[in-house]
Amino acid sequence: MPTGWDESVIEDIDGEGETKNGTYYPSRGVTTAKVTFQYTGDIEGTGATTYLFAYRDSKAGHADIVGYERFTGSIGGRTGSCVFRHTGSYEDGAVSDHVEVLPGLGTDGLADLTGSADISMAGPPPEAGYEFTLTS
Amino acid sequence: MSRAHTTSGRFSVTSWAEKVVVDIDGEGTEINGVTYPKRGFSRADTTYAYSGDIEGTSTVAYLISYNDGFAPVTGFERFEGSIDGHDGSLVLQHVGDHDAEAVRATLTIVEGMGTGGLEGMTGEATIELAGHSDDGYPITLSYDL
Repeated sequence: MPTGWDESVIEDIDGEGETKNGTYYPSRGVTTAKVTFQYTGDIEGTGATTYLFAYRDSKAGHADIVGYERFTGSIGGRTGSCVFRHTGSYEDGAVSDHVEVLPGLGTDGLADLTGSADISMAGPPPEAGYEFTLTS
Repeated sequence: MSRAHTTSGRFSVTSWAEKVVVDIDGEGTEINGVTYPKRGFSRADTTYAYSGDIEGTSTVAYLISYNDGFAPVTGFERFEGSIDGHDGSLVLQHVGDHDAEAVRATLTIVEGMGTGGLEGMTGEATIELAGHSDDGYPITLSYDL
C-alpha cells in the first residue's frame, strides 16, 4: 500500500503536461519519484522506493518504470532489510511490475534472501492493499 | 536483433550530480562531497556530449546500486541532436552493471518518445565507461528508421 508519493520532472519532451494533486506530469518525459509502501501479512514492514518513470503518454497511462526499494521488516518470520529491484510497465493505467531481490544487499535475517515477485496495481488502491507474493 | 543501420560516435561526461539514497552499512566513502555507499543505492543526474555521426547532448537519470559483486545500474537518457544527419530527440533506457573499474550498459530506444527526424527510430547500443578518458567513450548504435 503506498503511503507517500513525491514525484518530480527530469525531462518534459513536449511541454504539454498536466498538474494533478499538485504534481506536474509531462505528457511525454522522464520523472523520478520517492514512494513509501507499507506491507502487512507474512511480509511485514516498510519499503522506501526510488523510481524512474519514462512516460510515453501520461494522460493515457503509458510508461516504463524502473526502481530500487529498500525494504525493512520481516519476511516469513526473518527480520532484517533487503533491496528490491523493480522493472515494470504502466499500460492503460495498470502497472505490471517484476520485483527481484538484489543479491548481496540484505542484512541480518534477510542477508541471504533471494527471490522474485510479480505484482499488478490497477485501479484505485484497494482498502487491504495490493497483493505481493514473493517466491524465494 | 538485426538492424538496417549501424553508426558510431563518442561521448564524454560533462556533468555528474550524484546523491546517495540508501547507505546500508553506514560505511560509505566521501569523495568531493558525494557519498558512495559500500552497499546501497544512489540517484545520479548526468549530462553527456556526443560527437561523430552521433552528435548532440543528453541528460541521463540513473539509479545506481553499490555492492561488492554484481551491482546493477539502470536509467533513462534523453538525447537531443542528430544521428547520421537525422535531427531530433529520443529516449534510451539503460540496463547495465558496474564495478570499481567500469560501467557497462545496453541502451534501448524507448519507442513512442522520439521527436523530429528521430521520432520513428528504433534500435539499441552498448557502452562501456572504463577508467577516466579525456576524449570520451565509444558508442555504437544499431537502428532502423
